Amino acid sequence: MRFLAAGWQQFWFAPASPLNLGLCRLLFLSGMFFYYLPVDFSVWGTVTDAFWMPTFLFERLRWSPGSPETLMLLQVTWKLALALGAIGCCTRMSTLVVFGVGIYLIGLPHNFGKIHHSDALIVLFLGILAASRCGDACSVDAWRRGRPGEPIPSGEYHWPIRLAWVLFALVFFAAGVSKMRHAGWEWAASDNLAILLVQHHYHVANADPWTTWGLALAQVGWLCRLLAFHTLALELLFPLALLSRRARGLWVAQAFLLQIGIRALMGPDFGGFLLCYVFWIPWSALLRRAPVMGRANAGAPLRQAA
Amino acid sequence: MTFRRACWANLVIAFLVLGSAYDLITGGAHWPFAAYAMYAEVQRDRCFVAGQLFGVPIDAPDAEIWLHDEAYLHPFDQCRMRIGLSRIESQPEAARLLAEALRNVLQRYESRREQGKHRGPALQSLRYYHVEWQLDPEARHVEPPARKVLKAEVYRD
Repeated sequence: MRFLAAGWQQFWFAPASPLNLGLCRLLFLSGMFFYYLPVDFSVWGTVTDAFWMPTFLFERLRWSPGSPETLMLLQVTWKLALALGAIGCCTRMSTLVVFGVGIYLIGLPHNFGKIHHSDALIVLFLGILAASRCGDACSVDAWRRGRPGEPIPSGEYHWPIRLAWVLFALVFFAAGVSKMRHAGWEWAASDNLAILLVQHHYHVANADPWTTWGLALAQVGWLCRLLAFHTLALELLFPLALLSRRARGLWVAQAFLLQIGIRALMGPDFGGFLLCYVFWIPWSALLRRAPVMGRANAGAPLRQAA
Repeated sequence: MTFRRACWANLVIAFLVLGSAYDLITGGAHWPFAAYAMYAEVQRDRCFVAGQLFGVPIDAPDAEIWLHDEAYLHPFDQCRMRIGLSRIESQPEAARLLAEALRNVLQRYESRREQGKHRGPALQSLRYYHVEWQLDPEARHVEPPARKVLKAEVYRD
């Protein structure tokens, strides 16, 4: 029991510099801001109730689509909070607003006929940032507090990154488990992928493929089956990335390439999901290797973790 | 890290991990948690049917244009529109709801066209078909499809 408790403590709460989490916040929320800046959620207020098929969350909370004016007000507030959260200004409040309003705005389109899975993880990551002390580094808040000194390592800055990893790994693992549950090995051993590759040139996904290479690939049956087995293996073994540093680099890079490949060959747009990869990058280690940046960072004002 | 903060962190961890694990184990979907079952079914058939929208231009009433471009369907994308209409078809008052949904899509199409947000032609009506394709290895017969069955049509007010 003591061994388990120590393992739990080490996995989630080993002392870490606030820099990594601060940079993840900065990059993730900046990316979100620029990704969602041109997106107009207020149009959903013009869609007829005939399309309204509420998700579990919206049904339970009795949330309904607001008027275009209400949605416009919410989205302006949300995008402003995203910008403030990204630069770390009033971080606690801005990340709370980003999460609270974001779960409604990002979730709203899923009540109109189809749940796309590409942004679910984003919402969970927004929740992690809102619950964490992600504004203790690389932020206006830290600069305003003006306490110079070395970053104080704490478990406060470790668990949010680890939780992001675990949720990310569960997404891929769940996708693999679903394939095994619904289809078993036939998913990879049959012509399934070849058929999917062709089918996606008939305007069935949320976006059309970037290229027609999928059609050429579909004609090489053994290669399709090999890629399908590789996809299954990648998904089912993704949790290894949590345990091994070597596997982490390999698995995460492959997952990223897999999603780019799906976009190019089949069409589905993963949108903001790709931003979630910033949590896998060891920013503080990279900065330590860059001497100038490392020195500059060492003198950055940081608040001591309680 | 204070005891209170440690409890809070453990609570957040437990909620998010257990929420994700629940859908993973049960195969359920409780957005933002999900079982991520996209593409989990095996495709065996090289023939498939999908609901699609076609517009009849005012200045060419014998022609039909396929409205799969997101600019025409905004804020829907082609996938959400197809599945949304298909789910409406399975509801008890399908005919009324389908007509209401199509009228709404047509109104928004025209409103966006007048605002210059897409370059589609003015439409006199919107048609919803079940479209059948025989998959071609080189996707040569995407348009026109092998077979179309008209399910609903609405006219401009």
